[in-house]
Amino acid sequence: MGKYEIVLTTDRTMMSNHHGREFLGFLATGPAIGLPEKLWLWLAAPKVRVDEEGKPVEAPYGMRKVEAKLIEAGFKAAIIDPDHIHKHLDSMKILMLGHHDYFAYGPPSSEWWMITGKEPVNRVSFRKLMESPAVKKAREKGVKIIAGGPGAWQWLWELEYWRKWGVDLVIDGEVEKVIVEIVEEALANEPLPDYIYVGPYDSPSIEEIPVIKGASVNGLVEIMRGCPRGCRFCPVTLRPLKFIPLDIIAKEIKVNLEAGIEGVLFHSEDILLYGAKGVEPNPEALIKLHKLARELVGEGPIGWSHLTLSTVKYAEEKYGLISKLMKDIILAGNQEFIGAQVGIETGSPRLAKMVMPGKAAPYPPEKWPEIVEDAFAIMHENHIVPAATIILGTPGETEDDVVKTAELIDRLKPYRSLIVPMFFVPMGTFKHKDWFKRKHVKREHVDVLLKTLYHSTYWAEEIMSKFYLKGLSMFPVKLLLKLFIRYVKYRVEKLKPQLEEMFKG
Amino acid sequence: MSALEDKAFHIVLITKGNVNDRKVLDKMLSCSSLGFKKFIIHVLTMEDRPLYFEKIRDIIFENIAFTLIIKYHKMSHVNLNKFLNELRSKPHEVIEA
Repeated sequence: MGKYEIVLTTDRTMMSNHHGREFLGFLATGPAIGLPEKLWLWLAAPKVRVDEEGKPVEAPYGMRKVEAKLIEAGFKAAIIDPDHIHKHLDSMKILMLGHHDYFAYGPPSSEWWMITGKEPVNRVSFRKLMESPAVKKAREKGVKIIAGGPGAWQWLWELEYWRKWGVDLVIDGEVEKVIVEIVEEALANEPLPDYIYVGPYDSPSIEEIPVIKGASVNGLVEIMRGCPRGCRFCPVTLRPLKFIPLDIIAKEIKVNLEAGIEGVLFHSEDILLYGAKGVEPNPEALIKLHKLARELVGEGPIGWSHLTLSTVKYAEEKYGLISKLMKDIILAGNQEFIGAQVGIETGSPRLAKMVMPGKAAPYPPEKWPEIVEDAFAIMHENHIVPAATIILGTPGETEDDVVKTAELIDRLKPYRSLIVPMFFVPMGTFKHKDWFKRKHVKREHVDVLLKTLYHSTYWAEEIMSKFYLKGLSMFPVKLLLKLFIRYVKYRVEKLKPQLEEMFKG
Repeated sequence: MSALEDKAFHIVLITKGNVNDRKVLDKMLSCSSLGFKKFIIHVLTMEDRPLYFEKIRDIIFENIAFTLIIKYHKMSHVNLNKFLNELRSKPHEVIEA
């Protein structure tokens, strides 16, 4: 017999710790290539440990926030692993779904889908969840279904599924301020709106954001929300900027440690802007933050989600802050590296100035390619391994812009990193623009795609062996990834003559 | 939805075909200068739920600044009159687009 009236869940590609390596989760954004789908899914998103009720030890952070908000409001709410929803059919009145990328329209899923012509695993996995006997039964019982999370907007492009699966409400944006009221209405059987977009004026205050009650995937802890840079393709920049106080961060790290997670993965759009004034880093706040983390996690790993390349360069050149943080705190114990996602997006100063003038600040956008190179050199020196994104097909992009991106990738070859190309997806202030489609792909785009592939496969082996997948327990994962990389290289070599033919003349 | 709908401006959108999203967005913009940052759009349409979003998707995608609450009502005179009565004391506007 279940006891939760509100069940929060998502599909396997989200409900996983990805073998303790966040980056492996990205494999779920593509279709299974060269491997059976089940094996691919295991590689990207193995099942998580759960208790008797099906509550996962680790769960996506955003869902943990909603769960905490509902528990604090007195509801019987819990995150339940997708394989265990059936245990709560008796008590369930609301089924809440969360996802980054419900239908694989986000980057890079949409790109793999376009290139391979095959549905990405995350989309297939979510559809399986929605068509599972447990979800069907819940629907038949009259359970209300509410879908949210960063991928909520994608429902607007999948209206048939929305209807077929009987979703009652789709909610997009920061929900802490509104979710309790919505749940009260749903439980009282009041009619719900079909769609809510929570704008910046209804963004929650720090006091309204609860401390998570259960562990987050790989110890992820949010240290700030929003971003001051204002890039036009990015939705995060629309959120009001707020810094999470150290005492709250400490509480959340402790929640994770108590659940058996060994480290902390800081989340922010730019970790180095914690406590900053505009784009001016605050060394004192950053050192305090990292010292606190080291004190709490001991020898456990400290991770970063995202960095901005201009902040890396500026923080190091003005304060020596990168080497200080790395040598004195992060690499002081057993830790040998730190990974982070960074956005190159373009190698063209013209395009950088047009769509992301704030990304280079405090440097002028005309200097963007130099900033990228300098930041990569600093990161290489300091054992920071970036997974960098490039955006192809940004509105206003010219062939010359793409050539400049290709040239920049050539200059980044000496630096240990992964570079992942992404096709433009209409988001942020560009969300009304057209998608980048297969018919828009030009020879210059193919050159960039190949260069990123060669760059990333060149460095991947070293990153896997020396840093990311060390140890015996990681051997099967490493072996499968090595096979996958070799298979991709082989396929691309075979495809090259066809590509040459396609763009001839 | 008391708190969520508090201080919202109501737009009754009557639509029989393709929606002129500009009309709605301009209304939202002009109301924002009066202090409204939240809009409840009551869509009266012959289309089924949730397929009507096909017609109003651009309104949602063009907006980034304001909170939007979208409610569906099957098109009928009874529904329209009921609404207008309910909204009498609230700031609202009827838009045929």
